[in-house]
Amino acid sequence: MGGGFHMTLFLVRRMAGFAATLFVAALVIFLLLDLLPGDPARFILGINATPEAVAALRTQMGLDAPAHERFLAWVGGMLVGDFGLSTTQRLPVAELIAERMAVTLPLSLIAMVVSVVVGLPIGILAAMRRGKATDTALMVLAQTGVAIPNFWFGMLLTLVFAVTLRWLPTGGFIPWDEDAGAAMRGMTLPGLALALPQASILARVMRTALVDVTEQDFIRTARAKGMTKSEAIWRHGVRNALLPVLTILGLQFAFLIAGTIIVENVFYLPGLGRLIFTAISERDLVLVRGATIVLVVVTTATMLVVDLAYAFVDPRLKGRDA
Amino acid sequence: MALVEIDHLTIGFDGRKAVSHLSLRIERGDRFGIIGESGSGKSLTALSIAGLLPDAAQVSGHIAFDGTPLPDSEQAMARLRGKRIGMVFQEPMTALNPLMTIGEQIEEAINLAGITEVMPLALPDLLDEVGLAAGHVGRFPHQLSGGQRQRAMIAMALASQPELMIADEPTSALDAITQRTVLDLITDICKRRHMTLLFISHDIRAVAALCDRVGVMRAGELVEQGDTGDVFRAPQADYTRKLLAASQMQRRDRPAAATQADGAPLLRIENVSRVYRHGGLWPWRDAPVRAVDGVSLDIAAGECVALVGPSGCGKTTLARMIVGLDDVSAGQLVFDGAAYRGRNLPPLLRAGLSLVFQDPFSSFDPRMTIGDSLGEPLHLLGRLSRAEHEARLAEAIEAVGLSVAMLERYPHEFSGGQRQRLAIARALVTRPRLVVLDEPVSALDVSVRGDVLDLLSRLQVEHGLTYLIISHDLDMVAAMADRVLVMEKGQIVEEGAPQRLFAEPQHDLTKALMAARLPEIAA
Repeated sequence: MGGGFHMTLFLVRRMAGFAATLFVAALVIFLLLDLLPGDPARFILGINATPEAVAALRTQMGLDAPAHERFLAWVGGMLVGDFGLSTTQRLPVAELIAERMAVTLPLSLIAMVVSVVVGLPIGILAAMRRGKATDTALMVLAQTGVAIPNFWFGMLLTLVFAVTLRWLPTGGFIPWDEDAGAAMRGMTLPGLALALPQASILARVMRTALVDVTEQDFIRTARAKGMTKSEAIWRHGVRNALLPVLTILGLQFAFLIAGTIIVENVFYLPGLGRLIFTAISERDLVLVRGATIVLVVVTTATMLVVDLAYAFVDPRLKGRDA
Repeated sequence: MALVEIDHLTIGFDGRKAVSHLSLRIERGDRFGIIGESGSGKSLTALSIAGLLPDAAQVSGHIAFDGTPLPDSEQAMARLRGKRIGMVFQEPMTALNPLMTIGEQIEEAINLAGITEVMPLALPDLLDEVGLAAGHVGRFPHQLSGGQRQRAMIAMALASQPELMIADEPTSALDAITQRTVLDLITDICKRRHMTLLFISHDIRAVAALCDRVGVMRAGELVEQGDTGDVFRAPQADYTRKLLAASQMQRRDRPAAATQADGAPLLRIENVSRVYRHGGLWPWRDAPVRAVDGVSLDIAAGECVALVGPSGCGKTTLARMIVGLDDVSAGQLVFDGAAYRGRNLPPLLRAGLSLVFQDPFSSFDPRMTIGDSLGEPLHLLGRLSRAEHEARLAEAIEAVGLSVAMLERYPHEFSGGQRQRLAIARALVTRPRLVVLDEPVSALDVSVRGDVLDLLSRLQVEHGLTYLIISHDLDMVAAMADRVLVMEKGQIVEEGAPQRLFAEPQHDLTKALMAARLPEIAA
């Protein structure tokens, strides 16, 4: 069948699509921010600055070059890791983002791992006990988990585990290279707070997918071969039901990277969400631009990973553009 | 002692009986056929023997396998299935796990059978027995044809060396030629292994060819059972007689076709091709698929032309272009003197062409009344007055033998046969000249097929219609068509009157189709 060839082709196509998406995204981000009213140079210098001073700063910042040159300079710089200088903090954007990613990325990963480890088994258990008391109880729990705001849950966790039991810190962040154990402890409660709604959604999606799969003919075939219903679901159902779950997982991870700002605030964590928030309010366009493109890269890369995972799990997709 | 003994089996759902007081015995070595229409309870009966009924089913009565009542515990029942009963289901695509190779799936059946006293049947032997090459082991279900998938299914059923094989409509989803080879395979295996077979089918000829005993089911009851020869030679129940009559297709003769005065054909297909490209813009995309490849043919007014061929031969693609649902890649179509390429068929010309789909269940919008569905094609004629609109609907629904009052109802209130009548009414509402019928009766129960074909014949005479029938059912084609075209890989490979074509087939495909016909039941 030339499976290897098809797989290579598939990879090449996906990577090419990935690169194209990033290029288009960079163009859109650049154009939108360029069209935004407000002059960064004037913003930095304040209302009282002379037009000459503003013009001088514009030249210094490269703002007077034609748009296409600035775009190419920006993209070219990023390819070698230079995202430009933050206009407000006068520091390299790449450095600022990397510093924040050291908080946000592990936090998101912890939340993901917890939500998978908790959510999937709950979903599977509920599907296997469909219509019984266990199913109802678990789904009520999941519904509650979706409904509870994560900042409230975060405060509750702080109250119980930090204030009362004093097991974990209430907030703040100690850099990884200073004390990795302390950094990890600092991430635990916010990670849990972020994981709760995600785990609840995963449990519901997993349950629905598995219930659907259970009604498929091949589960009956597996039972005809001599399996009990639960053996058939376990061996043939779960892997098939994971397909829709994969998509949700990808979306959740992308959301976590940018969507942790409330929890970051609750736990005083210097994460990417807070950085972007500050940059927007201070009109630091270079920083906003850099952070946005990083989010696009993370999201697109996640989708790429999901696609590749699909191809790995589902043989029907190999070497196809579906 | 009988291998399977069923006593007063009753299966109900929400108090509605699906099977009632059914008793039957299947002796060791029997090939027992259960025949009946959809909803007659035949599949439920088969599933109950294997303990695979849906959870919602309420069951009473008694089933014994090899003298022992079926175990109550799910575990014990699963082991009984795994070791002593093999099952083959209707739709081999959905019955196999799409994420596992067929080798893995067959091996799983071997392991579950857990045969210790004899050497477990090795995978290659099983593949050999069902006629699959060793290279198929590593393939996934979607990489196999329907026939190959069903062979894999049979290999799984055979893995435990079962005493009983239950085959539930094992060939209904396959095309005519594959159907015959799979039936022959099941027959061979049963004979070789002296295996008991329970064969469930709606096809009376398949049962007659395969089984030595038969039970006829209707509405949950076993109306007749006995030796196949006896039952079919001297049927006792009216219903059996009706099924037998329906299985014998009589030639529907009509007055000779009245050709148009100037002799020009009603529809002319000129060197039409349809090419599908896959793989988007990439330079390394897959080679284009030529679904229809240079087809030319004329259909005269009043003719009934049939297009036959295996699934995937391009016959439905051709039909879609004729009625303007798809565009030709090359060539052109001429209807009633006007040339078109597919979707550019102008509305008024479009009104002269109708299509009747295969499946009357999915071809109606369940949320629209029959009147609304039937009225939809009328927009092709421009604005009609309300009275004219209603008169058209009444004319169409009465033409198919149903009443005007039914226009207010919804599709789910009708049986399959009635729905296909309604689909024909929908095709007639614009008073078309050419009707394309895509497998018009293959989704219907055998007993109503005859009625629908009679209706089509009558309408053709009454309304001076021209038909293009697309089918793989040679008996139906022989009964209806004036001219038959045989299609393979997008090309027409043979053409002629049905009597001549079927008596002396020239092309290999026509020969294969003829050979695949099941023998008629001796009266």
